[in-house]
Amino acid sequence: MSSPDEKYVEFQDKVKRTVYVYNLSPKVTKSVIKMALGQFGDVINIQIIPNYTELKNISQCALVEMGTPKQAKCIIAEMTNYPFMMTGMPRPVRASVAQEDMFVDRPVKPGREIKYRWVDPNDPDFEKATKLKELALKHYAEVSFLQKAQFEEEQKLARKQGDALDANYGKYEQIDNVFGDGTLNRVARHMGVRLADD
Amino acid sequence: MSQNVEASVGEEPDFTWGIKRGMGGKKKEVQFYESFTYDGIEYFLYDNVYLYNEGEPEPYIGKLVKIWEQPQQKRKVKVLWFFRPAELLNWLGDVSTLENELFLATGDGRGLANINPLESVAGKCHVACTSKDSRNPQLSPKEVEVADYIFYRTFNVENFTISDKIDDKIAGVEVKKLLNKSGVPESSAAKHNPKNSQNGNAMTSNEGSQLCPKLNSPGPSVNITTDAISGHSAQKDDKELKVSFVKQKTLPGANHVTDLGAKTKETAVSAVIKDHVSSHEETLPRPTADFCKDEVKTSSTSISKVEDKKLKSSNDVGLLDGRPSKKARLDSTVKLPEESISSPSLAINKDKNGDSLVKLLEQPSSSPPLAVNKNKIGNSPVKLPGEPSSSSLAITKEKNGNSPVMLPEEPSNSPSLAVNKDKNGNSLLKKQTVKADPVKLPEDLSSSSLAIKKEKNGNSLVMLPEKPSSSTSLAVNKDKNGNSLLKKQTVKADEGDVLHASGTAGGASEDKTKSKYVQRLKKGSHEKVAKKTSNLSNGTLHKTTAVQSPEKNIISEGQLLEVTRRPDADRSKWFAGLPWEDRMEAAHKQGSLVLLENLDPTYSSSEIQDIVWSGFREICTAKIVPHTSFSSPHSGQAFVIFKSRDAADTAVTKLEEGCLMLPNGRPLVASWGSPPSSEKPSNYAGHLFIENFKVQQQREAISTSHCSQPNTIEYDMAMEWCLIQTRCERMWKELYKQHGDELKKMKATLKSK
Repeated sequence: MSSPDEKYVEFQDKVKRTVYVYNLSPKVTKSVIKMALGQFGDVINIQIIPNYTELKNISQCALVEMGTPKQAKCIIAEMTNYPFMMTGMPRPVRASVAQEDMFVDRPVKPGREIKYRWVDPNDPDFEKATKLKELALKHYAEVSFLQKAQFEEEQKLARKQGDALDANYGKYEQIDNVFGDGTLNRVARHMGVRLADD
Repeated sequence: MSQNVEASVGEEPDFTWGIKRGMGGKKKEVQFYESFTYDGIEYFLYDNVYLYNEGEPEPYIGKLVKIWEQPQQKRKVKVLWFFRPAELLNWLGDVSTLENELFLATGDGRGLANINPLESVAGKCHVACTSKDSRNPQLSPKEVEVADYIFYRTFNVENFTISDKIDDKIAGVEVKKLLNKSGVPESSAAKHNPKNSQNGNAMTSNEGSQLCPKLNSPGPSVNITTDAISGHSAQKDDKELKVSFVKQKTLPGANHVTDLGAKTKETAVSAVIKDHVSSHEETLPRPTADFCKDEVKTSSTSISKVEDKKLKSSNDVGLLDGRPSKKARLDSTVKLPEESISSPSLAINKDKNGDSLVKLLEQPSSSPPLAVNKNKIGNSPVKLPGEPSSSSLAITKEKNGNSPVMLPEEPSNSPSLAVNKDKNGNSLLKKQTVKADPVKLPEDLSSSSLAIKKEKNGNSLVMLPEKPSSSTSLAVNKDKNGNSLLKKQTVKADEGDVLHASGTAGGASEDKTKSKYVQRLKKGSHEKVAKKTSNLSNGTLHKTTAVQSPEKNIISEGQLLEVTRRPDADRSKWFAGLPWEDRMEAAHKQGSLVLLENLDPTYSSSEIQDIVWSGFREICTAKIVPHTSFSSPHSGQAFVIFKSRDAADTAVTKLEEGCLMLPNGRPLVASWGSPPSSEKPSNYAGHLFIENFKVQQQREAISTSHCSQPNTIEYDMAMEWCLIQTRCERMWKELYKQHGDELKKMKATLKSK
């Protein structure tokens, strides 16, 4: 087994080759990702990050390890410049550089010592520490709230687009029907218009 | 490390055959083997292995009883199964089982053994046999502690019965091969060396490697020192418990020597108990284990002084092999001066260094997780102010709110304190103390001390080695067996007391009581001891599973400590096990899943495990919650699966009430976690489908992923999404900036970082 340092360096290399892909549909599976990103290079490994929030159908994210850092950069550039669709439209998938703390099984950062202490309740710091704890909890609550807010925004947009799409689709369908059931031809004859192209 | 696990999954691991055995089969085309190496692990015949079965929550455990290769390179193993208690629920009835207990299949029929592809072997499993069977090489408690599982009973697949008898042959294999490997020499020389001097003062000193009662069957050697007690005849009986020295060779590193010296001074107000844990080198292949020196001097004046308790145990946590080797030396000197009686056993579990005990006593509530099993009789006329200190502190972590309160209140005189975690324990405790109080007759005391001592021996000695482990974690008596054990003991103690009490109450003469007691002793001492030890050993096992700590635990408040590596850090890297999500799900149902928050986001899972180990002396499995683009850059979260609900409970409570400060002004925050939902939602905001086309479109969408071109509706809609995405990113950024400012402000007020 290699030393912790080597392992960490190895890990850092891996991080550089990896793309963080988000705004994925929860339906996306590894094979879909592999196929989708396979066009940009060699997909070595895919890790789908589970959804730890309480929101059920929130977007998914994944870490995709590519063959080289260059391929990873290429994907990020592509996805930033063009909306990229995967398993559905029109919400595009986003990609960014992977960060070390996105990896569940990252190795221990070498050379770090963690000190801890149980703060004595009589210590003046105890109260502050308690406040810090509360603050931490508050922050988590805020994060959770913002997540929900974001989710609602997304839903709102999705609904809006859905409605627009339905309306458009209805119009097209109407037109299609006009073609399909012969109404158009009848009207054309009636008006003396030639429909066929010459 | 655990990171490797993933890498090794999915690719064909290396494989090589080892030692050959004979050929077999109809055409002599089958080659049998004695060993093989798979995925870097060398397996031998009769090794215990995990077999991973798709869809099963836990791997099967079995013993390799045959290994062979058929033509076309088909590698096979015949596996004799172990059953988990959960698999036998229908037949268990009221049989109580240990958490890590297995049952060896026996008899003839379905479920005894199977032939499996060799590749299904997922790793080695350390199963220790604690059967008292004479064919079974006994193991030291330490060895048993480090085992993943233990077994001493069998399950007959023919008639579905559980038995502690082991057949001569199981699945055509001699039973000897199925028990502990004889590479571990069993208890050889057994010396009896109870030196009894019976001139009023009895001195028993047992020196040697291991004291183990002959009767002690369940493998692990338990140290029992018998002591002599004030020149009453009872002593004799007591001593007849036969202390035998058993030398066992244990694996280096498994040695475990506890040094216990207990000194209690009469002026116990300032009872200072020093505990040191001194570590011995592991590497010495020293005959294992427990070295107990026990001297009991009883002088005619039966004032008992328990002097000096030193608990030296070794601090080596990060052992060479990653196992906690706890070497502790047990050296206890108990002097009983004539006047007083009680030289109680001292079992001190965790304390910080010396003072902590006192502290603990003072603030029992604040340090809830003390599990001490100490039966002590402190009848000495001189009140030990430090009763708590001298006596055991049992703090039940939940439910028994009273116990902590009780202890301080108890008079020092209370002859026996049995501390249990569970309610029963408490009630017992109360009872005992109540009873004890009235008894103040010196004579009685002496006799009581006897009784107590016995118990003491049982408990304290045995317990000591374990204590360290127990110290932080309440886990000690977590399971039923553990409890029962304690209960039993306490019950016994109780009886003793009752006897006692009745004696006194009835105005019965000292003699009477004594005689009764003696009788009792005579009657039951041997068996009882045997029983006790067996129980104890079981208990130990149990505990071990919960905690293996080489060190004494020290949770000292205010002190800045370094997070040390947990002892099992390097263990179990070979076995990938179930997906983490499933395990979280299971743990969540069990109530042992905890979400730790406010961690440094750069910590790795293994560091979290170390932190939990250092902070709570609990072994756990932890995984960080991976960061996403929307997670806070200021803090990280991790899911932790504790070994049991109790352990999880303790940790959460402790973090709620106390404050574990990690570097950079981060108090650890815990809450009950709930695992991510695995169900796949049906719809996803942002992916639109047109009803009629849905089926067709979906198929296409899955097969095609593409960049939108700027001249489509799709592109326009996608732009709207990009807009919202960017907006959200801004929101998050803003929020976290604000969080950062708030944290900074708050942290600035902290005195120490």
